[in-house]
Amino acid sequence: MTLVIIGITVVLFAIGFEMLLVLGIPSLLLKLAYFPHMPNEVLLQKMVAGMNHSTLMAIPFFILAAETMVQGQIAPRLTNLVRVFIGHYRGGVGSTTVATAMVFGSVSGSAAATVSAIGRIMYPELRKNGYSERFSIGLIAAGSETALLIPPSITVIIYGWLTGASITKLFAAGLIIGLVLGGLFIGYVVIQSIRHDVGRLERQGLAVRWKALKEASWALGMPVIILGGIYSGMFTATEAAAISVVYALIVEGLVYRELTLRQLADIVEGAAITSCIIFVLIGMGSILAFFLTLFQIPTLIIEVLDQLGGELLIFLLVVNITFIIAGMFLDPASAQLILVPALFPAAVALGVDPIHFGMIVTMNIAMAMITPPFGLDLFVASSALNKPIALVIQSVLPFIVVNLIVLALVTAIAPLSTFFPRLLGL
Amino acid sequence: MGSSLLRALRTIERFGVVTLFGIMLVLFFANVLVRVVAPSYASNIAWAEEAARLAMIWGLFLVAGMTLERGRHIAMTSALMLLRPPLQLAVRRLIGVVGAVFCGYFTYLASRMTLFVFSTGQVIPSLNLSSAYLYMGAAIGLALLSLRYVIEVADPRAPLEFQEEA
Repeated sequence: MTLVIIGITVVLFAIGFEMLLVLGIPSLLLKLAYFPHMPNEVLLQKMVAGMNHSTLMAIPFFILAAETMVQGQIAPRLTNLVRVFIGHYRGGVGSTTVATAMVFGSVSGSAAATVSAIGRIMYPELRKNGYSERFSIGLIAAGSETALLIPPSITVIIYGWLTGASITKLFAAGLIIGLVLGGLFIGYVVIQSIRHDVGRLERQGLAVRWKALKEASWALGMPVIILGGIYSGMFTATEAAAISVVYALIVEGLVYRELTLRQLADIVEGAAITSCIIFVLIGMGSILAFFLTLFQIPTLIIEVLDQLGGELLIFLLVVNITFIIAGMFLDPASAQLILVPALFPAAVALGVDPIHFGMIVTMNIAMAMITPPFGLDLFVASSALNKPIALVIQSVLPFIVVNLIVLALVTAIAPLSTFFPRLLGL
Repeated sequence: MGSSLLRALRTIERFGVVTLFGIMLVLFFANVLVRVVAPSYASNIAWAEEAARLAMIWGLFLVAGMTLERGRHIAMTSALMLLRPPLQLAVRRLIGVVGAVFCGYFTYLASRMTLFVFSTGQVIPSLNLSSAYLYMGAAIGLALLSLRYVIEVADPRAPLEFQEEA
């Protein structure tokens, strides 16, 4: 029976059923087949309970803040600031693309939003300065992954909610891993720029830099509020998220004065839709996670691991391979909702630090955004840049190698994930 | 007639979700502000967090149907895109039927839960409000989602374009 249910799930997934049905239908079938005496209302109860959590409120708030900033002036002003300060270095245009994605990440938390926002601006710039078509596409799709690691990150919030790990610590760890990934991307850009002797932006004078800094001064308050507020222990992630929305609304509405009421309604509606996409999956995923626990899947995994000798690195290797394969096909939230509840207890049993495990998961999810055939960013890049998907896939391949290097580092060196939260005394 | 009803429904959904998200933000922000500025009053406004969460749940469910209508719920449509348009429409209709039945059944479960929790008198403590309101939001949202799936059956979205054309 279990095999039949798995088969049905795969078919539903493959022929294009919405993921809410791909997660929901097998849960209903498992309930009917194996727990016929349990009241069916339990399905609904688990779904609502999964969504009704104060940690998860950070998600609509961060999305709302990001939509406000991207529609308004905060995001473009931050982008301009990065450009005038680093655009003139060797590989400057490429580095600016990565750094812009990181800055966008620090205010938005969504890789897909980052691809479409920076793609249209940076792609012509990269091509104009001599970067090849493939390199430019790959850089935009891959660079945007850093948004998933650099706080605030929706992926990290979902992991924290699933495992009970501290979001503050995860945000601190994610900042470091995001900087490592971004740093390696920039390193790769510089090497390629030297090899192919591509152009760079004109060096900007002090007056231009000062102007850019002044224009971005209000915008710079945003990362300070999000990161400073959380790391100082003054606010929880959810509180910082709510404050960031209010701050974004005040800056866009009262300081830059470019936000109309109609725009505001559109922004709220857009944010609600984006949040709904995630929450519906969280709700359905909560039901599935409940049944995975009833089937004692986590215990089974621990037993299998024991038989394999309980070797930590082998376990982490298995985790990585599982996530890489799942990531090729599933969207980030679904991959986490299915795999984390099953694998996390085994990780804890083997003594893996929850923050370290969180970074392994997040790094895998970030990479999954660009792994063919179905990485989400591949499709967003294809549509935002108007390029065929096959070309986008070829373009990201070298960047997947960079990802694998970072994933290996994050997996093998636990302190890379844990030292910064400790340093901050979190 | 049908389309003007649907237009009215969209307006109500849009107005509802913008209002609910607004309430969520104002209440939650007020709660944080009071805790930071006047901590001694923090316990007086502890209800605001629960109320904000209730507004969030209602808002998220209310917008679920609209999200489907705009094709925004995540689905792996790559294989679907490879099919010829008439076959695509047939698959979308099938998805519509299954989705409508599934969400319809969940609407029924949510309605039963709402009535059951009302009858037990269980309340959200800090709000002194029946917990049934939580499930009522789910019932309304799932019904709206189910309705959109029914519309998919009658009038499926335009076929998706071939991705590999270029």
